[in-house]
Amino acid sequence: MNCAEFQRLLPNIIESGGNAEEEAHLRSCAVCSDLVQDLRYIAEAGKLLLPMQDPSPRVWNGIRGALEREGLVRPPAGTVRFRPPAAVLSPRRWATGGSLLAFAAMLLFAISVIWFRNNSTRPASPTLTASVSAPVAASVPSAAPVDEDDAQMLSVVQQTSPAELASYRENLDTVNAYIRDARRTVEQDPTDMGARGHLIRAYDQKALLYEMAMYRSGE
Amino acid sequence: MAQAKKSAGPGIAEAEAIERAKQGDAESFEVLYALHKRRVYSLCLRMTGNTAEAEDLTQEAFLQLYRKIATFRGESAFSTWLHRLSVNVVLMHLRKKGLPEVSLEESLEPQQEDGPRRDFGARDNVLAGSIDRLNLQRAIAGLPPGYRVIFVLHDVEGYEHNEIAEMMGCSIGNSKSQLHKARMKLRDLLRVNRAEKAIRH
Repeated sequence: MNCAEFQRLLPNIIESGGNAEEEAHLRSCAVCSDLVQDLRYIAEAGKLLLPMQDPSPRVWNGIRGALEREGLVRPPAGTVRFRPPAAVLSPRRWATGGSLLAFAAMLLFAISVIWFRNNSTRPASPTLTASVSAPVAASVPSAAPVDEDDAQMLSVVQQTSPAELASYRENLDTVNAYIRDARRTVEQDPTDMGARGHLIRAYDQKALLYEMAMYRSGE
Repeated sequence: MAQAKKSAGPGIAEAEAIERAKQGDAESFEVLYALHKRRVYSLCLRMTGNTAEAEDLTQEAFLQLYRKIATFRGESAFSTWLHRLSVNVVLMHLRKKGLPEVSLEESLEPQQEDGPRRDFGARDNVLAGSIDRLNLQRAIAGLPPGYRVIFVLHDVEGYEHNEIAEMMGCSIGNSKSQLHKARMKLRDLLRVNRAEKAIRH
């Protein structure tokens, strides 16, 4: 079997494995072996892409307007009491969760500083450049270690909504992985505006996660 | 299924929100949106590769959900039902735009220069370990629309070929063939991206 014959059969080989002849070619041909390895890697990597982005508020505003126009909603107490989709915090809740809110604000500020520093003077360090090539699998959400602030947030969730702890932990791992990926790219190429957008969204999501934890703590 | 027990917000479970939404309860609509907006939006974004279109389609998907929610009988998980509905909204949009469909096998075929090429040449490093999530997302966005839809449905969203064939109105064999071409194209895009980065650094 030559490479042309092998690659003609490739969809089936990737899907369900090859027969003895195809396996023999795979062992003897480095080019076809690399190709198969890449295609299997791409297929696996696709499965690791989690839903990471939220739509902008205009989407909910549009839905709400349409629902009202179409009369699909029944106002609970004589008036339609829509709230923004993200948790709206009452003054009391802000007070009870003050420390976490302060952290969220500090987090966003810290990110601004990091961006500014990356964009202005600091060249990509060898360490950071090397880490750019971290494989997707390395950033799969898992039982990754959390820093002190994350641990504090999880502790609050454990106390106020223990049933939600696993979900919060999973979301935290996911958003931290998202931040790591985006930061690597920004640090490698500070002019990459797309990556900066991803980083902003990633930190927005983390701030939202903290906000939700704080919201629960005020329940 | 765990779906029914999922917490849907302060003091309200998803199953309860669904029942209340069937009665037209405004807050329950909002709860369902908050629970599922990210997954639906990400699906729309990956299938279209365009933020504005994805937002419009997310809005349309949820409006259809709310219009049809009274017909949801719980025979499948709510998220599965919503996901399928969202896929159909995107596919309908793509058809209206005149973008290629898999059912029109010839029209889905990218131009020759976009097609997969035989890889008989010199050996290069394999991709494994050299791409991250952002690069992969960008490469997917750079796929021709027909390829992108198939790749997202199968490799990202986990649909089987028979389900894709049913949704797209094509044969299972065609779905498999298009997926293979999509992966080959993606490989090309990722290798180019890697080479460009190597030159920059």
